[in-house]
Amino acid sequence: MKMQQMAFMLIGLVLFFSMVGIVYFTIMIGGLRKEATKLQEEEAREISKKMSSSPEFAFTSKSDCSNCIDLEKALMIADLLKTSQDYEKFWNLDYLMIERVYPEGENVECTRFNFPDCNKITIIASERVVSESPAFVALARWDPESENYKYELGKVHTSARKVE
Amino acid sequence: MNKKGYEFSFAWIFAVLIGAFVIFLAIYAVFRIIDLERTKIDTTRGKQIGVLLTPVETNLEDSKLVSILVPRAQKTRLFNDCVLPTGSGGENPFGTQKISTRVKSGIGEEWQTFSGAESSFHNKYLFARGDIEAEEEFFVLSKPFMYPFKVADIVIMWPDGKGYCFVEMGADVSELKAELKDRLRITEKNIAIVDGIENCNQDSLKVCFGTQHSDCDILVQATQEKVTYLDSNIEVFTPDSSDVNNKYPMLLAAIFSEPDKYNCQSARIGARAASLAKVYVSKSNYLTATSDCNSAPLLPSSLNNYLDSAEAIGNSYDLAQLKDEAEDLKAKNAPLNCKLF
Repeated sequence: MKMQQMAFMLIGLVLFFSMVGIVYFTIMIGGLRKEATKLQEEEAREISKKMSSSPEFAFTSKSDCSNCIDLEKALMIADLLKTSQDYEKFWNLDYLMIERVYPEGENVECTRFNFPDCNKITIIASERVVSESPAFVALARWDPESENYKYELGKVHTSARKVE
Repeated sequence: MNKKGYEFSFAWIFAVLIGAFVIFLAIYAVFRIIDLERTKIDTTRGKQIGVLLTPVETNLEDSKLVSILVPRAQKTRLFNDCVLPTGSGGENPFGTQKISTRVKSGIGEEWQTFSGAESSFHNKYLFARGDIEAEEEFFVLSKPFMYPFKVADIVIMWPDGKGYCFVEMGADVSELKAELKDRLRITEKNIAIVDGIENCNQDSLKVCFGTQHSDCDILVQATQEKVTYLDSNIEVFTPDSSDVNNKYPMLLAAIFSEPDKYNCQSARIGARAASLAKVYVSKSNYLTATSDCNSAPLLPSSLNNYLDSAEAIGNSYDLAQLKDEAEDLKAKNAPLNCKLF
């Protein structure tokens, strides 16, 4: 009888500690996912801030705006991504879009055919933007009318890759 | 007879055995949890260092020298690995920069047997030895590599524990010497710049410029654009950057790196150069079609030659061979009213 009682008690103890262990690991894994997401978002923010110095976007045709984003290059990269996936994972981002803030253009996506009568270039598209990290940037493009470069105000929107 | 004794019944034996088993399980679980936590710390540290390499990249600067501090009493070992690019259209067109770390602990073994999970980056080019250990800080030097347009930021890293001794930096590298010594004050970052090899610390890695001595570890021949690792007798090529005021990013990268990693990163830089050339070809065609921006007529054939050569780069020698095409592009782009880059 005593043996039976002891056996039941031991089984109960083991079950109790197993459940404690499950709860602990669930909380720990949740904390790990949060930490990983935080790091991904920090990476996306830093990339936003440094976008104008990336060789793919840096405006280097003239020296009077070294921190500008070259809109023509951005358009070409967005175009390239339609036919080749090379740049898709390059920046480790889920979403990358360059928006012209001032002067406001037509609220449409830029293509080779409507540029510059548009106001956004989506380089990496995402169905659902989870957490955006926007940063203001200066934009530069060739203006055929004035035969010179035109400088505008824009924003870079990025979103980190989801942690699964 | 009055016998006094203690009956050690089966129930007691059973209870002691089970108790011992439960205690053993608990201790085992504690050690597994400690290992898990240490792996988490190692992984987080590696990712944090990787993320910190983004703001280190240059904008307008010729170079940027920063320190990445390591928390006190948490000596950190950083492992740097490079994966070759698979070429355009492949699974890994730009190659991969992999970073992982191990943090020293006071509990259990000093260092874990395995590093934390690797953090991968496609847009970073870290030149460092495969395994570097820092007590308090990692020094990071970042320089833009132009070929002839900006291709990438060369990020060079070395730890506080590792000393370097630059011996006899002659007239051919006088601008580099002035930059390192006067502007960047690199002598405060564990690098000695001396006129004779006898002035070097015995433990430091001796980098000889031009003249080889018996104690040299690395021989730099700046005018021939090559660096030789004397322990393995392997030679790598260090093409000058197209910016005449900042010619030596690859030379410095080779000094602080290892031959296989340097060649791998050179191949990755070649892949990036090829992709950028495609962007410039598209831009050139677009501007020709839509405006009077007259950069287009002169460049497409030169760009296509550059693109074809860049796509074939597999090591530092191939990267060095691209120099003629790079100079040709630079010469054709410079006089244009509407420059392509």
